[in-house]
Amino acid sequence: MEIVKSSSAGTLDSCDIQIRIESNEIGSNEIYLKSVVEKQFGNQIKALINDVLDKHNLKSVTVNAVDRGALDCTIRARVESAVMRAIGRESLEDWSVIHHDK
Amino acid sequence: MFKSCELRKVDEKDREWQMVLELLKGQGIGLDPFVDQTYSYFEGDKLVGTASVAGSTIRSIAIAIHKQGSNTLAEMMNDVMEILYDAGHGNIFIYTKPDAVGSFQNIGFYEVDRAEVEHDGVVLLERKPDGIRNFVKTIERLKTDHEEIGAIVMNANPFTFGHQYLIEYAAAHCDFLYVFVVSSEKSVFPFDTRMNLIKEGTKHIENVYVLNGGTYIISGATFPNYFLKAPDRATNLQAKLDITIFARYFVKALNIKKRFIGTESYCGTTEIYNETMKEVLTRFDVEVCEIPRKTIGETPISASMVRKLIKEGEIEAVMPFVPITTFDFLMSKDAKSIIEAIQKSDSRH
Amino acid sequence: MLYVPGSNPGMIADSMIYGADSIMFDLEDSISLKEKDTARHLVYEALKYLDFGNVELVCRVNGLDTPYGERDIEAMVAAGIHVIRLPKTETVQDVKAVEILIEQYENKYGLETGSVKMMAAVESALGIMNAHEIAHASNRLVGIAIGAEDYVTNLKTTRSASGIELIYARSQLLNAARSAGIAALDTVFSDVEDTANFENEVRLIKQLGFDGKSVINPRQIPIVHEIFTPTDEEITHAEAVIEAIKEAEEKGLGVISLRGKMIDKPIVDRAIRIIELTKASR
Repeated sequence: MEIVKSSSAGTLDSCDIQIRIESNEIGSNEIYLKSVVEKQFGNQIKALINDVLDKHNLKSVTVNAVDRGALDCTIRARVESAVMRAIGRESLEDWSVIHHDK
Repeated sequence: MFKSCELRKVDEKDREWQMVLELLKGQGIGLDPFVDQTYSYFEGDKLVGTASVAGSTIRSIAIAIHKQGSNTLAEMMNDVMEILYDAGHGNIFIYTKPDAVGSFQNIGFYEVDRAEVEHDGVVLLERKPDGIRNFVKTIERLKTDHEEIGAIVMNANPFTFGHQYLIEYAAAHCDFLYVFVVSSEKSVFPFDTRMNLIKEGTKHIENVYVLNGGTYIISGATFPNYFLKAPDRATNLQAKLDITIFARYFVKALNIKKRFIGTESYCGTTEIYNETMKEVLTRFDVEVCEIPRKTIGETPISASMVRKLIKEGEIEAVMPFVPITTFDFLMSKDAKSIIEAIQKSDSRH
Repeated sequence: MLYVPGSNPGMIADSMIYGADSIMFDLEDSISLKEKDTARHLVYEALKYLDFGNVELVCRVNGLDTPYGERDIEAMVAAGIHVIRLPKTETVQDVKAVEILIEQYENKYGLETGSVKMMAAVESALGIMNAHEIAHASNRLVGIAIGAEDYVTNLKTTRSASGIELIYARSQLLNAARSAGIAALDTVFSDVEDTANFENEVRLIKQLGFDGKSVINPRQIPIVHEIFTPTDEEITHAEAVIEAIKEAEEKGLGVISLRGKMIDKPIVDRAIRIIELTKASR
């Protein structure tokens, strides 16, 4: 999947996460994360973000994430939204592509 | 149940204007004179924050004392950033004091560089985690094998014989010359036009490369002047920051050995800027070469003089001061809206 | 029924802790046009991955006359929502159009046909006049609701403390619901601070016969519960009625009486309903 424009989703309100996605030129995905729970959950949050990028077959994007204590489902939703905006799509063609194991 | 705070535009005409100024003043911050828009952040009828934007930078940011440490800063910045992203800015910058850096890092900003003078300091932060590093990578591709490499930074608003002389002189005093065109400031001549006129007016010089200075090069003329206590020190700090960025990133990436500047007489800010430049660049082994301004008779040629003539409606009178390429542009229909803007505006820029 | 704006992750995450009988995630009026897409994703993920217990989960989707309506319906069906609430329902056709889409997406996502229910919100004079047909328009309908803000504007009036302007609409809606055997839900009360008038309104709609009230703030939930929960006296009486029936059945008596009063079918029905309400509110 190709990024057509840089995009954002989410806010800096508590319990939310703000995601900014841009294409990069290094040929791999990079995730920068600031989080109030970085020490305990930093790796888990990055894994969640990577998971969504993989599902959309994104291979060369930079994600700047600022987490304000969001739940996993919120993190996934925000990354999904930012990805859809970045690839210029209004909505998923099939929501089952983003089903994950609980 | 809904979000309780609201970001609103304010200007001098609004009742809230005075409240905004007081909030800033209470925290030792002045309102930057170069902002495009100031915003207030209200919770009900209480002012809890303010921020201003200029281009892609957010400046003069303050949060009411009783809201500091809460989520108010994050929520306000979120709304301001949304405006800048929606306006098409790919990266967002913040100028702030060193003691506020942590709060902005927490909301996803990354430090580009900082300058400190005595106990005062200024820090530039950016939203793109890899912004400056990526920019350096792009300019590294333009590196040449020449020995003595020079650089000039100019705004050229618009390009005059003065600028042309500066470039000719500099090009004759080094092997290869980079001309960085300032892109981040508000100039009446749009960036593309300024860039084109420089290229057209320097076609005859072989060892010159004109390039976009990007968002990391600022000229001495547009410094935020926002610390109330000591305006001179603010200029000094800001100059130091700008030149440190130039030295740390640009000089290294392109192996620059000489920086050329024109002497300025009319503007104190520019004088401080040039003094600071000598102090900083010498430490990075870069020679600063000051070139006297080209004059016609007794009058030094400057872009501001050209704009003044345009403002007074004497467009044909600029002919002795600008290359034919610039003059032809001014006579073309593409220049019409710019000329109108100059004639309407009161700004020095 | 607790209204939760679908764009607010904090409120979505907290929505199950207030003891509401049902939660309605809003994708419609409380969401700005710029955030329609992100709200849809937030509610989708929340439905898929949060544990809401036994709460009934409702989503108010955008109308099919907007670019968002069909996408909302698809996402919500895919997420396994219990009830899709149609905004601004005016005709049978409005209900049918949504029903067709729900069925189409139930098939696409491998759900049993008919598993997703519907609720229709009536918010205009035309909708109120058609309330009877709307209530009977689909087997999926589990209830109809009145949205008073738009309705009073349509009537060219405003809402008052007494609610006199809503008497006709409420009665009409209630009769439509009862004739179809589905639930009737009352509108929201937007002034969270004004608990006195909120209480009066809840008492009024309970007396009219409504099954429940929509709330926009969790603080309003205990008030609704208190008014809708049967009193101890009512419970004791209902239990006695049920006991008397059992006794009569065992003895094979045709006519049942309790403390000298004859008990007929409506009284029995009411007693059963009180016992059910008591269970529901415990």
